[in-house]
Amino acid sequence: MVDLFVSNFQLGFQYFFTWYNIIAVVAGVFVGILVGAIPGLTATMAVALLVPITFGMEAVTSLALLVGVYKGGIYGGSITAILMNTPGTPSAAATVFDGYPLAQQGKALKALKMALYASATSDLLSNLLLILVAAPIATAALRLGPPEMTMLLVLALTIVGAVSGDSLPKGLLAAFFGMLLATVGIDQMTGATRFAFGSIELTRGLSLLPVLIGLFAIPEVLDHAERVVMPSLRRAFRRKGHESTREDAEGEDRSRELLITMSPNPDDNRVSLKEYFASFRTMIRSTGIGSFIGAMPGIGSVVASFVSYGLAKRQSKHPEEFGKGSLEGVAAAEAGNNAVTGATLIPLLTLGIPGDTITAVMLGAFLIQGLVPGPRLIQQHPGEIYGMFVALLVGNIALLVLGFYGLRLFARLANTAKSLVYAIVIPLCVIGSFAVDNSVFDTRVMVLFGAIGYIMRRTATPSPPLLIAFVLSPMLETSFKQTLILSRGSLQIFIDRPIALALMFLTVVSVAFTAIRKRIVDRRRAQAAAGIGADGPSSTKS
Amino acid sequence: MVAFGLFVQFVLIPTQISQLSRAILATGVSPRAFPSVAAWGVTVFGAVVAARDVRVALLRARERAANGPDNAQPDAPVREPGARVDLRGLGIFFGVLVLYVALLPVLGHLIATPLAIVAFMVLLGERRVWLLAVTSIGTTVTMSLFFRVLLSTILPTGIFY
Repeated sequence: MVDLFVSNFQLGFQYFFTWYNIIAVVAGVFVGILVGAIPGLTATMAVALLVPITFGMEAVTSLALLVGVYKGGIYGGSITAILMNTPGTPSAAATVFDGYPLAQQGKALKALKMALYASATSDLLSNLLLILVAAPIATAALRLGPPEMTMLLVLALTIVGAVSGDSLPKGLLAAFFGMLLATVGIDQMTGATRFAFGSIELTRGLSLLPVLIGLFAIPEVLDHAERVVMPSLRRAFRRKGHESTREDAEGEDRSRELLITMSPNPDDNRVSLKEYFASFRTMIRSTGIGSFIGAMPGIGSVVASFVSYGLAKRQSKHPEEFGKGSLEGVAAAEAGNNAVTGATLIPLLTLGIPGDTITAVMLGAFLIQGLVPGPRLIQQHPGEIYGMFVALLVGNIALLVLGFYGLRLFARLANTAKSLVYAIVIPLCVIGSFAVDNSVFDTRVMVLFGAIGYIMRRTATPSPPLLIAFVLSPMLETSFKQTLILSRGSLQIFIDRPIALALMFLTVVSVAFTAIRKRIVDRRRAQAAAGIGADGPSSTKS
Repeated sequence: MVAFGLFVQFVLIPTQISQLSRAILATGVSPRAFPSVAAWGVTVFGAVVAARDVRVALLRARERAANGPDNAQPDAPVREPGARVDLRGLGIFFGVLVLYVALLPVLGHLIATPLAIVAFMVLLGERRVWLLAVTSIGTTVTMSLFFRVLLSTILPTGIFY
């Protein structure tokens, strides 16, 4: 086992160490940090946009680029969280609590550097965990037959539907909608055509890339357009005849720029070894939390950073400093969210189940390269997968170097690029959707899913369950039908096989647990609101 | 979503998926089974979501009636507080997107994309002519070279080439 691991790792080094791959991972981290630093743009969107570009690349190069973007994107969100009090990505929301107060105290660079060190540390540990556990889990998963895989996929879908967003019914609604969309095209087991409406394109089914680009890139641009277009047109008509200025171009966002101010005290601009090691325990704890949460399908980096932050505050010797500019708070939040990046790849690489939205998007990149995630992936493509593992480790070095030396550059680029990026994203989405299959139809599918994604966003319906169900349900349908072939049509097989039964039990428990937890949270919220409501009028009267 | 789920269940599934005989189905599972489960899921959870929305609206109305309009709690924000919602701007932007996608196969990438970039940039507030020109032409040429040279993908050429 150890020999195999060592030889696979050597193979991974051979596959990875070319100039193309090194440039790809560095470029990925660069783009990721930049996108993460622009509020409103997420790492998911960046990965979705880059997947079509990776089409003509070697497998390791394409995966190196995407994992670089993933890493950079999660870290990049902390830059705006610290400098602007606005998380660049949702996963950096907990970084705001202590990062921004530190910036207000003139310690912006200290906070940014602590965020960087915590991110790089937890990222490295999480990647090592992935590298160590992926092969054994995949080997164990090889023993899972169709009934176990069916139940595992049902469990993954219910967890994803249940934990994404604030509402269990909305999450499950999105998941069932995704399942329905996945049935368009030819049924692989029977050859029957479903929902084709006489169209040859629909007979092939809906392609993954236009769906994911539409769901995750277009709504972000539409969201921005909704706020910017009318004020910009009004300004244009008001100022007709006047010379245009930079202020026109950036409108209301002009006042919200990323500025890094240096403190005259050098200690405020750096993180000493003592300060780093004072937060090291917190980083390790947050890495554990982030890795555990990342390995569970559907939960993701936002929850990881909040749970890590909350636990760090509870365990800290100085809990009173949290929320007022605690370095430990920044370290906890950042270590928590970056630890997810390695761990989410565990279910993807070993079971074929994406752990979060980004890995669902990355699944598309794997499939484009002819790599089918699942228990046999590492066995069949050790060079490519261990090459990606090496890329993950090199990506950490790139993150550390680019983050350390490029902070000012990223802040400046994020300021100048934000008005241009949104305009360029749309053609990239359209051409990217077209390029995978040279299909104009796919560009229309992308626009349709852009509209669906936007409506889901407006109605607070989470889109990750839709995408993950869209990806997983063909596998679920196939393994369910294989199970019935095995059992000659009897469902008793799910009860006779102990692992399948245990997974079924876990599915019921997870749904029940989520529903009960939601009810308790809702009741507490209602009680709190009633308390406020009761206080409100009385205080108004007094 | 309830209406959509029922429409799929009772109209689309019977008309758009053939019902194969049990004899040729090795699994005994019809190709209609999975879409049917999904459509029922959409219907049931769509109904639950709708019922919750109605309940919340009724509670808010009752709260407003009890507290008076001044003391009523504001509606729960779906998006971040303070963000303005202007569907006209969104409609114009989305219209340009649809037009771009529709005209791409006709005009081709080299004509449609720079026009689309200029339109999007103007809508998003950019007025500097040199920046409009440089960004639209630069992005189009870079994308063409990247896809054609590096990825060997031919982008839509349109009817003029």
